[in-house]
Amino acid sequence: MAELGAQGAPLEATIDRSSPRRPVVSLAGELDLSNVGALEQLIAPLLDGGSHGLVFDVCGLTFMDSSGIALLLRTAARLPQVTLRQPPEIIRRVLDSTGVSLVLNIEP
Amino acid sequence: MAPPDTAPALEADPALSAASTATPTATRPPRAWRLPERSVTIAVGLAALAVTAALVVGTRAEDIHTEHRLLDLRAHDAANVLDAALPSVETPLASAAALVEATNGNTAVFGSYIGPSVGPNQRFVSASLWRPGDPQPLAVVGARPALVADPAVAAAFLDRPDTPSTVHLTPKLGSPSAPRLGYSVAAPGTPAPYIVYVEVALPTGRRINIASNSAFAGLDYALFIGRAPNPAQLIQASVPTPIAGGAAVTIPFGDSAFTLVLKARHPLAGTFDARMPWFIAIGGIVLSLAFALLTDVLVRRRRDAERLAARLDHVAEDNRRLYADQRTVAETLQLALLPAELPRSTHATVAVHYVPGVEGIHVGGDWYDIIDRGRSDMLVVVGDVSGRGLQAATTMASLLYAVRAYAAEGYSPAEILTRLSALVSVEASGHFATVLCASLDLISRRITLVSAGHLPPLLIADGTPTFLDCPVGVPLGVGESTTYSPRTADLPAAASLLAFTDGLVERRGESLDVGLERLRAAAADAKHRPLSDLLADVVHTLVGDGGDDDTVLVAVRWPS
Repeated sequence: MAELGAQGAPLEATIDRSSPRRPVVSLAGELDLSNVGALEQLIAPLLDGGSHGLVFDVCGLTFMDSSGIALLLRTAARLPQVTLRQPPEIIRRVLDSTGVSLVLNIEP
Repeated sequence: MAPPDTAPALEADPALSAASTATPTATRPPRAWRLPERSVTIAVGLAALAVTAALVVGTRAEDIHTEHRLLDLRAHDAANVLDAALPSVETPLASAAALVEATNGNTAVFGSYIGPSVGPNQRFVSASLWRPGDPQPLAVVGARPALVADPAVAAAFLDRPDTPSTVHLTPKLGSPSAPRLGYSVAAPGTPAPYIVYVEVALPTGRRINIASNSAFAGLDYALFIGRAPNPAQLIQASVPTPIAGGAAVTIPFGDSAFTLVLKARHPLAGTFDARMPWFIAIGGIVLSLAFALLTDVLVRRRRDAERLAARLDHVAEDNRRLYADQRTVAETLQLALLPAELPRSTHATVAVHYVPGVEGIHVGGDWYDIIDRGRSDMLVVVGDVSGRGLQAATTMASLLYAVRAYAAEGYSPAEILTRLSALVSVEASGHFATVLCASLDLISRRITLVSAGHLPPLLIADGTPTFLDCPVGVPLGVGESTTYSPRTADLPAAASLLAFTDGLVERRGESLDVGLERLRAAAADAKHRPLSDLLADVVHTLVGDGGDDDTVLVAVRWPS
């Protein structure tokens, strides 16, 4: 588990590599401009490591700004199967209102 | 027809803008006066040396005190030994005097009594019997008294009104090579009829060697007649007199006294005690040097750390300045791109309000545009580029200019967004954008609305404000040539339309719907307020002095 909110909003990220072709990144806290760079660095090896896809488990997320959405979209543009798992209602509402849920695979 | 409202954002005063972007260049507090670097080391070294010196002096004083005390004890021991030896002189003299008195000055009896004590290896070298006032002795046993050779001393010594049974000491007698000391006791009677006088031999030159088993072993000593160490009254000494720093003790004897002066040849408390001050001095100096070295090392480390911290401060300061510069450029770009003037129309009032986000150092990518396409056709665009900073601002600029170009070409909102979607790629630039594009027929109040992931506008007419929902398309940047579905609606008279970016309604930990509801409530009595006041009030209610994010509001109002 990595604490990514040292200089900004609190964010915890956990990477589960038990299925190496489709690792799971669990996020809890707030994902915003202040920590999105740190998260991107954390998951960079997953994008370069020949993963087939990636699951963002965001059930612990309480806030995500447009930089966070941009990170999801960038990741989805690079890997064939990127899934957003269990977004809370607040996050889900943002994804719907921005049309992002039209392009991201979302598991309720 | 009311003139178009002007909004704060349009008054892009460079001075204002500069003021708002002025980053706090941390003015460092003046450096406190500091000791020269070495002085701490020197001070610590000196302090340690001072402590050492104090310990040395204290130990030395204690040692001297102990030595004095021990010497006093030895002196008293020696005096006791001497005191115990005195009766060996006193008793034979007193007995002889009593015998002479009892036998009426019988010299034969005197001679036979005192004789065994007189001789070269005996206690006395000479014994004699005298009458007071007579310069010649009645009888002499052993050597001739030295007193005879010195009539003046003899007269002074023998003519005193002596108390019987009291021992008298002569001054020094005899030649320097054979010095003597005389004792006398008067026989009982008043005046005393006889005086018994003995002389003891003193060592040559009055110098004596001390036996290792004597009470004076390990000591230098000098013995004087009288109650003070008068050099003229020296009896004998183990070293040349005077003895400096010795302990003096007086032993009463007869009508006079002996004064004994003693001094230790070696420290009485032992050499270790005596050398203790030296040990302390050497140890203290070594420790002082060690302390000073340690201090020096610590001072240097601290100084290095301070220098490093200062360098880091400098780097941080540079970074702050760089970010500030970037922000200034981005903000300048953003403000320069936003319309400097709103189109005027006789059919509707237009107002905008722009609030830069306060958190962080990057400006956002929010923008708006209002384009008069003629024939009462007005295009209203509100957009939001994700992320912040110069990159977001440049993406915003390209979108803004593209919209103006496509608008001039006469494209519909849906066509405009489809074309815009080819200009942004989240994969390439890292940014995506949401855009609301509405084409308004100001006369017929028909609106054609397209949303690329943007929040719908608020329609304020009679009754409760409602959001003018339209199909939400994907945001710009996730695919080329995306198609968008427009919604067309005919607005009632006296309607106001309020388009905005998410900074107005989005809050951490709160559902978007709560923010939207807040907006609806804030705009409830909109039609009774001037449009610019409405925007200012809404911003004040929802954002206060500024939220995390940029916020843009664009409002169009038709007259009733």
